[in-house]
Amino acid sequence: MENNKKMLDTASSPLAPQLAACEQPEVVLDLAVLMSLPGVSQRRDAPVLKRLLGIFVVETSRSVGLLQAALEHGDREQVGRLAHRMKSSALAIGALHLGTEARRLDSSLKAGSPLDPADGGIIAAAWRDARQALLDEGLLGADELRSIEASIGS
Amino acid sequence: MTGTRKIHVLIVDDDPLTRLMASEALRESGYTSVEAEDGLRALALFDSERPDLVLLDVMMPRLGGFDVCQHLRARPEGQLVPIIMLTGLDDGESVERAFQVGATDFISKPINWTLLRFRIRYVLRSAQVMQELVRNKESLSSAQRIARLGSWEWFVTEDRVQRSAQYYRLFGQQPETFGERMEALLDHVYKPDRPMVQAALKGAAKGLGYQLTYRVVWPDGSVRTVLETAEPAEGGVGLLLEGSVQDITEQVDTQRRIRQLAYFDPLTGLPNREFFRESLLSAVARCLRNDSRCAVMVLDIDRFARINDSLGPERGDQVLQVIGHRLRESMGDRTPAEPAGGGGLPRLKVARLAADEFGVLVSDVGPVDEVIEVAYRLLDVVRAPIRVPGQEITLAARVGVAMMPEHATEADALLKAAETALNRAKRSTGEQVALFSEEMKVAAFLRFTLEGDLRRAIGEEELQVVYQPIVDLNGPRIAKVEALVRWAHLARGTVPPPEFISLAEETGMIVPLTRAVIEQVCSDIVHMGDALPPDFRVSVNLSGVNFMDPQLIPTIRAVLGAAQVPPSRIEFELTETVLMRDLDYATTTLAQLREMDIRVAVDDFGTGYSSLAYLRRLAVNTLKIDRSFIGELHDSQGLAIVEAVIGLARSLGMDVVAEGVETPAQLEVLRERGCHLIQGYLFARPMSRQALLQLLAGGAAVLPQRAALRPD
Repeated sequence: MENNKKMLDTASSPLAPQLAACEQPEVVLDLAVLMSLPGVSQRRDAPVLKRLLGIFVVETSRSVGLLQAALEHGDREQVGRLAHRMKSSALAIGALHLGTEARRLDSSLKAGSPLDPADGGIIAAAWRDARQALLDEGLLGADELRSIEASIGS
Repeated sequence: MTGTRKIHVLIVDDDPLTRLMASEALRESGYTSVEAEDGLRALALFDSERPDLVLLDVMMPRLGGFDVCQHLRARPEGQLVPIIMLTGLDDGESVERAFQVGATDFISKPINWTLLRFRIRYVLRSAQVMQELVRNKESLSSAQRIARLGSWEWFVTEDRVQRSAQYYRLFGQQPETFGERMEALLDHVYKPDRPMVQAALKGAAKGLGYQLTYRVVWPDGSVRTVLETAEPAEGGVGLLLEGSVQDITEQVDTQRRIRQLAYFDPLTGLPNREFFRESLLSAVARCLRNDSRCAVMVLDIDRFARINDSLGPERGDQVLQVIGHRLRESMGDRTPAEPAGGGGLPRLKVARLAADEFGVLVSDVGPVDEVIEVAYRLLDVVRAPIRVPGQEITLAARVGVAMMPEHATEADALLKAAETALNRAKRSTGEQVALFSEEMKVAAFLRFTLEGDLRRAIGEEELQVVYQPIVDLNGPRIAKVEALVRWAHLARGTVPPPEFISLAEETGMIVPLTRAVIEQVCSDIVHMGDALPPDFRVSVNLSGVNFMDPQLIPTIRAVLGAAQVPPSRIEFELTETVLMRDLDYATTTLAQLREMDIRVAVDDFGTGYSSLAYLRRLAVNTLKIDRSFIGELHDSQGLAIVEAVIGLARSLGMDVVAEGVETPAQLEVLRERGCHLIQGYLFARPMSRQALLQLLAGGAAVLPQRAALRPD
């Protein structure tokens, strides 16, 4: 039991760089995070990686669209929900910049700040960067990406 | 969690990415998983999949994570399942809320997958410990239920009582109806037992433990017995007592039934001999302590066997019930047929000691006259007419009396003394009440030592078998012999047969004794071999005890078989009283003997219950006219009886033997009336096998009274 606790304590240290990322210019795509995701095990050709990224792209591109629309409509609640989700998934796969932007938006809304239509652009830009990073790294093919995006009509 | 089955996890998150990563992470750890994208789906899957663990996201559309958690905890099978909630990284509020709704643990997003694996392992292990604890608690509770064991804790200072659920059930009560304070117990205790319980509680309030058996009354009025144990316990502040209550009704009932069987006579409901003995033990002890006196009376109904014979055993039983009831009434005995509660044996006065023998114990008596008076009063009670359907019968009885300390100072000796006195009363003609005396003691002692001697003598040389010839005048020749047993006591000389035979009958020793006689007879028959004429038989006496012995026929078969003596060499003699005791049994047994080719003679014929009907029914071959009639042959009445018996035997096709023939005159009369089988000193006394052999070798010529024979 005692032993376990120790392991839990040390295991919590990897959170530290993520916290630090809030203050510094963020990495667009942290491959270390991505490669150590469950089932990936540092293998670029892991089937799970493809599925994860597929889901990530679908979810995020849909969320970005919905977020922009919600900002236009002044739907605060919807903006908050989407920002929260995007924060989670982006940080989870290592899209730190996008995740940090989404997190900033989520927090400011929770803190009571008014909606800022400019945030739509910021999030969309961060998403574009992340998407580009995935292409650059060769983790997703351009054709693949297009067909995914076509399937959700974005 | 058990054995080979894989841990199954329910993942609840509206984010497919998280779900996919979580399921991958779980798969890597060797778990299986199922995914739910919202709260409602989660509840449905929980019910159908019965997961071992739930990973539950807080933020979800439709039904949020907190609500799901609450719903799961409300389910019986969801109470102990570990639930790990997925919260935002810095969402302290959610973490707090998660624990409030019953989450086992939380992990913040983004999920550190390594950390998650450890957390899962940790919560699963705690859950296992928890489940074992619960199982232990459950098995304790069901053990208590099975054992009908309830427990309580009494915080005496505040008079607060904590009682287990099973405790209330032992009283047929609900927690709401029982009452709260310790004293509330008394309302449920059977009234006569309340003072006892109250006293125990009073002591308990001072910190004294107790163990108590008392009865409780259920709301439906039924009474049950419980055993309660209480002892002071180590508690925090103030006095604390712990107690347990167990329902022991069944055990008590069983004990009571055993006791009823062991201590009471099922026919009359009276205490039995054992109970009487135990009561006597305490009565004697009491007398010695208080320097007082007590008396034991043993009452025996005269000729009770005849009641059974003439009215049937059922009526006989009824008569005994009536007598038992009357004796109790007369003695003012209120010993309950079944004593209630615990306690010692109540003071008894009347018991049934044997079939028709009752024992009466009188404590703290005055002088002897007073006791004798009581004995006569009991005789009057027995003598009062008893109505049985169809008739009214009147009985008589005899009473033997012994007193403490005059006649004995020990319970068994006192009872024995009363029985000795009773035997004296039974043997005498006029005496109905006999008081024990020293002289009786001596006689009884002699009888007692004789008993031991006889036991030793059976099968030894001391007991000899002799043969008295029965002469057939048509010959003349020795037709058969009657085997008789003689006891040449080493110290006391010859013991008269009536004395030791009756002793053997009373003690049951007659069974081995008769067997020994038959064995000797067989051995002698084999020994004499060809010296015996072809149709020669040896006649052996069987007592009533022998005849009723279920082993009689098998024993005869075994003994004859072992000696290789043909049954056609044997005849048995039985008195008519023995045959009459149970006609159906006699008929069957005699038929078996006849089938074996063993003949049967009726001994002492004419003295008992002569009935033509039974003679016809029974497979009897010979009638033996009792010697008392032969002695009266000179008398016209005596002659008439003998003529009648001879005529009866002839008409039934039976042989007739005259016993005790001592004079030529008697012989002459018998011969004239057609009785040609003669036994008596006139021809021969009982003799040894050797003498018999000589006699047989010499033929009729050696018969001492040869001159008296006048062959036709």
